[in-house]
Amino acid sequence: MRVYLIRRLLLTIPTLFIASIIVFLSVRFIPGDVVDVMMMRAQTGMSEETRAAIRRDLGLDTPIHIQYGRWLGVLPQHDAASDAGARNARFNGVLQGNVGTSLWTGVPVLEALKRRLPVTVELSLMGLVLGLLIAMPIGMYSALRQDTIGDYIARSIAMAFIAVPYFWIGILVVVFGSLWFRYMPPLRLVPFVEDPLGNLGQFIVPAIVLGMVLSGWTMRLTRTMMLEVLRQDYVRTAWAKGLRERAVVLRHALKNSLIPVVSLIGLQLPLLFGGTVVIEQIFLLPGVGRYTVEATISRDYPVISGVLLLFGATVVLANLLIDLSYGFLDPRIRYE
Amino acid sequence: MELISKERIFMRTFALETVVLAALLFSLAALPLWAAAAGEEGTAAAAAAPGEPQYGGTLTVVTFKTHDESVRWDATLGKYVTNTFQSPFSESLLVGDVDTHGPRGSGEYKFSVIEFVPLQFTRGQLAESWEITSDPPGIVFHIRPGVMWTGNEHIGMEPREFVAADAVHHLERFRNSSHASDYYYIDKVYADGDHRFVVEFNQGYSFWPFDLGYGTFAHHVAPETFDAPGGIQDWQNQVGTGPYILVDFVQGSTVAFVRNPNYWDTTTIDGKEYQLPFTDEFVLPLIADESTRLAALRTGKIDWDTNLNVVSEATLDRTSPELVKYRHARASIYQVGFNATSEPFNDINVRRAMHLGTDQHTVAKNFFQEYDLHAHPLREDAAGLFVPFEELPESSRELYTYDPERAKKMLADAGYPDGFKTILNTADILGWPTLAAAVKDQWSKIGVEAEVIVHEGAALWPMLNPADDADRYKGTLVFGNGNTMIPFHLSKCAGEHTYAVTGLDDPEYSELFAAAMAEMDYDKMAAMGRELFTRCIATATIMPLGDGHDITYAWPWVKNYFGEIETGFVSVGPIGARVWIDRALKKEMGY
Repeated sequence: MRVYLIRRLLLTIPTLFIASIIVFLSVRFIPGDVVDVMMMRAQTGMSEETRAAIRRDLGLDTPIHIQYGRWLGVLPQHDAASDAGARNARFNGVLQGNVGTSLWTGVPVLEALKRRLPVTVELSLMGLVLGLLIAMPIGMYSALRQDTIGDYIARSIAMAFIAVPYFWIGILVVVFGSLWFRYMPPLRLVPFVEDPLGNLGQFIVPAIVLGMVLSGWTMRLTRTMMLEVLRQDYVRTAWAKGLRERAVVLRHALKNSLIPVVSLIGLQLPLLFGGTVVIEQIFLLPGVGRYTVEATISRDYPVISGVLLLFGATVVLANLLIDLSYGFLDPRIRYE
Repeated sequence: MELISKERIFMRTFALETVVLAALLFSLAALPLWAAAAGEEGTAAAAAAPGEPQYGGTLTVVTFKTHDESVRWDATLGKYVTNTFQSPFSESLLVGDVDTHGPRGSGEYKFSVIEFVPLQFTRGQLAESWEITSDPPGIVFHIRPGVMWTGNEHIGMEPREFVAADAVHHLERFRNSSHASDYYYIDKVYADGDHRFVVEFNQGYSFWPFDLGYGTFAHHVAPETFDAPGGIQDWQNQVGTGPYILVDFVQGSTVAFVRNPNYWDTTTIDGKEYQLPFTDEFVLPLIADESTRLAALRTGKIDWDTNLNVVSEATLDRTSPELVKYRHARASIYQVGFNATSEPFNDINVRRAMHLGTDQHTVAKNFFQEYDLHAHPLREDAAGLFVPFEELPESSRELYTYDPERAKKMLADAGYPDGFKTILNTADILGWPTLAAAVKDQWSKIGVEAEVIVHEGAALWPMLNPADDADRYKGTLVFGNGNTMIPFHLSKCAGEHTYAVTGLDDPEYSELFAAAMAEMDYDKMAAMGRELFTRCIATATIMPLGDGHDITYAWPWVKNYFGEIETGFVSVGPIGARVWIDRALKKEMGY
């Protein structure tokens, strides 16, 4: 187990390194740079001199490999070059724990994430939990009542949840909510520590929307796996032993049908993040999703690179945790 | 049988669990409604008699750039956005005089979508008065005595008076920023005592009221802000002299201000003078999504909302008929630019044929519903510079008519009897591709085959203002931009200026433009501006597609509001300070 864990952790290093190169380069190859965006937003022209001065101030006037080296922290920052030689050089990049500073706001990416991450994590976790609360019972019901009207309805619900995009449900909830119930997401973020009830009230509707969409796939897979497991010999043995229905389904069948479902949850993490991008926008939640969207539109390279790198690291680690959880769900699995 | 029976038992239990789960989900979903109801303002309006201005309450406004997620406090990095959020707490040397000249006063000027305010409609804000000097050319500002910086505990700053040295610090900061080249006309800046601030020019500069007075980089922030850790970019460091004090900022959520109890300015309503501001709190929520913004307005979470497209009008009329509407021109004018540096558009007859071969009214009508085609190069708000349509020469007026047969003949005479192929560049911004498609359709009727290329917005912009003509867009361009920036719009038709988007080499035009920019006398500058206006249309390098109309909505409980949007460059603060909330009416209306 320990060797497996170390090997997997070591593997994350080249994975993240390659990811960092892809992320860093891809955002810089989008046509139009941050200065062009500034000019576009001002809706006027800027002299070539002004544009060059801004690029110089932002450290964008050097070759891209130098910029990458600085961002990674293996080359000194751009203002160090003019200082009194290498002894004053400041290495302050990813390797030193600094993923960058916003070109627009001047706020360090990590500092911004510290404020925004709790919002996205809360929304994602609530969405995930609500998604499972919706998916698991309906998936099980669908499997146990295979080919009945209930099953057809449940499958249709699952397909509808898969087919309907987040933004559409979100917009419908806000538009019709405002028309019929005078519902409107709060304009300001309500911190949980200040007002737990208000905070839950703010998050629950977007979390349900997020959970609904996530639940579609989980519902389908739970049904399929339950159907397979219910036909296994050991389940038949359990019935034959005279165990109660609840014990057969919940203790013997459900746990064994969960392995692919847990894998799916791991695969849904990027989907969950993608969902928060839209949901945060519609429900006025200042999370990482909105931050990333704006950074992409603004060509705020350090923010995009920093967020995506951290997101990549999170997905890699989450998948590692999920792999490790298989051993708990199925004792036959060994890590060697 | 046994199995079925057990299954039924299980199903019953399961059904019960499902019902409980559904009930749980339902009650969770109801939480926000309950929480919202619990959070309703419990206090009704007090003290003031009905109709009398009242102090207190919260004013929540959506205006320009409040859909922009990335608020930044350093104007050098994002002038529009920064100005919007600076205006409630920081002030400029000059300001649009809404009390005297706006709809609440003489009504001479609407103060709707403006970036340029003619000097005669401004008044001193931080400057009590000013003098234009001629030798050397420049401006002497007399700083208003007794205006106080609010101070800021976070940076250990006590309240103190705004003095001329602060104005010097402000201007020098921009002169030493990456925007230094914008201040090419300034020779020297200095304080002559505490209340006299002198700006000496090395040449005349007509656009000084905008640049130094109320424009892009005109909002003053205390020098102490820059010295504090985090500097100007940290919101907690901000200190101004304005009607409000910045107290809370959550990036991507809201910017909130509270009343500055020691604010210097007042307003007069029905002959009685009132201390500003009226509301205790002023909130600018950051709402990116249009449907969420409409929902916020509909539910009364927003008191007034600026610049909603006329397409929302029917829905809002139906769902919220109590809303008060103010119609005004849109912030952007749309147009087609012709690259006049290469064939075929280096021939004025081809450009004129393209005008005649485009049914501009139909295109604008379909796109905007309500529009003003004669808003190019300047709208009528540009007092003194605007030339009414009737006063244009006949040859220019006919550019607005649709005559495809004549257009085809003109193209044939210019050497294109079978038309030609061209590129129609545009960007994925605010319906530009829709307009481009409509133009392409129009041109196909005169034998011009246009290939529409939709660029990403940021990628298109450098093609408008290239360092070299070779990098300029090929063929034509459908684009839009703010419609009251005088130098921008008068220079875009021709010349070598930074803003010139068509590349037409016209030394006479350039010379006249330079002369207008250097003229300190407003009336003389305006006369030259009118000449440039007329010549600009005559070049036929830019074909207008119209200036649409937007609607600003306000709830009836928003009092002393007359549909104004800005008192300067995206500056909403002074208007917000004049508005009061009729809380009794709001409660009576069920909000």
